[in-house]
Amino acid sequence: MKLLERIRKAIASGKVEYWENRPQHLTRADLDEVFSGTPDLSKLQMAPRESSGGEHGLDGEDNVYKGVISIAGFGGTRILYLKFFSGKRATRTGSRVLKFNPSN
Amino acid sequence: MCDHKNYREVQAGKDVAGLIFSYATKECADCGSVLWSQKNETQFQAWLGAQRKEHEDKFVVQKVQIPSDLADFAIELAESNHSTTSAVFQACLSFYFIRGASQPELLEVLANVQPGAQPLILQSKFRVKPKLFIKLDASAKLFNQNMNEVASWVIQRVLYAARAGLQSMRNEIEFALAA
Repeated sequence: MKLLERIRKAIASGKVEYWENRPQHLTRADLDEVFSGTPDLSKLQMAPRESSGGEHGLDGEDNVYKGVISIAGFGGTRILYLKFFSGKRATRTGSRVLKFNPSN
Repeated sequence: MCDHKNYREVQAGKDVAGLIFSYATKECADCGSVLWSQKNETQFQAWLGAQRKEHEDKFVVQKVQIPSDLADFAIELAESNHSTTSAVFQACLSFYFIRGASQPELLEVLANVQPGAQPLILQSKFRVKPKLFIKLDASAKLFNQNMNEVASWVIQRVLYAARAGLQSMRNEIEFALAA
């Protein structure tokens, strides 16, 4: 399954651990809007996961995806930073979003 | 990076068009983050549905601009379907945000539409369903625009595509108006 489809599936499943109100952290509604479109995920990179906390901390994927993504819409393009890992290694359902910010 | 292990149970609030959705959740004592869980999302959607009856006047889009030729087309659509231009505009937005969400290729078609440079005319305000309001609000914030700019962008393109016969959009709008 392609990465974009996997993220969409995780969001649609509702099993996304999402913390709002962090400085500059976008909202869960923003996450839904970005992945209802077709963001460019080509610059996401895989890296070993360091944290074991939170939901999916123990059963989640061993790697995180992190990097700059972009989404076009309404006559403009928005550059964002995303860091997340999928929950449940076996099924890759669910997700824990670690960072979702405007990119500096 | 904070793991949010040190949290407390709190009552938080989310502002939607001046209305406050109050919900029980966890707040991280270390970084101040507030968890938005699936349970919160479910409760929020139910709350949102109830607001439509009680506070319909809050969910309003104003100052939408569309070219005069597309405004004429919207009037034609409204008259031929015994409806109103406001309902046509709402149908355009629903089509884009609801149906478009499951069809990214459709959104790409609309993104490439060039509605032209006819003189823009200002439309009066119209009401939208709360769920549509939320999507417009999120999109506007995400792209650093005003809600009316996002609504204008969408309505212009859907109307243009419907008039040009792209993707059966006219049928979709007329189906929404009849519903």
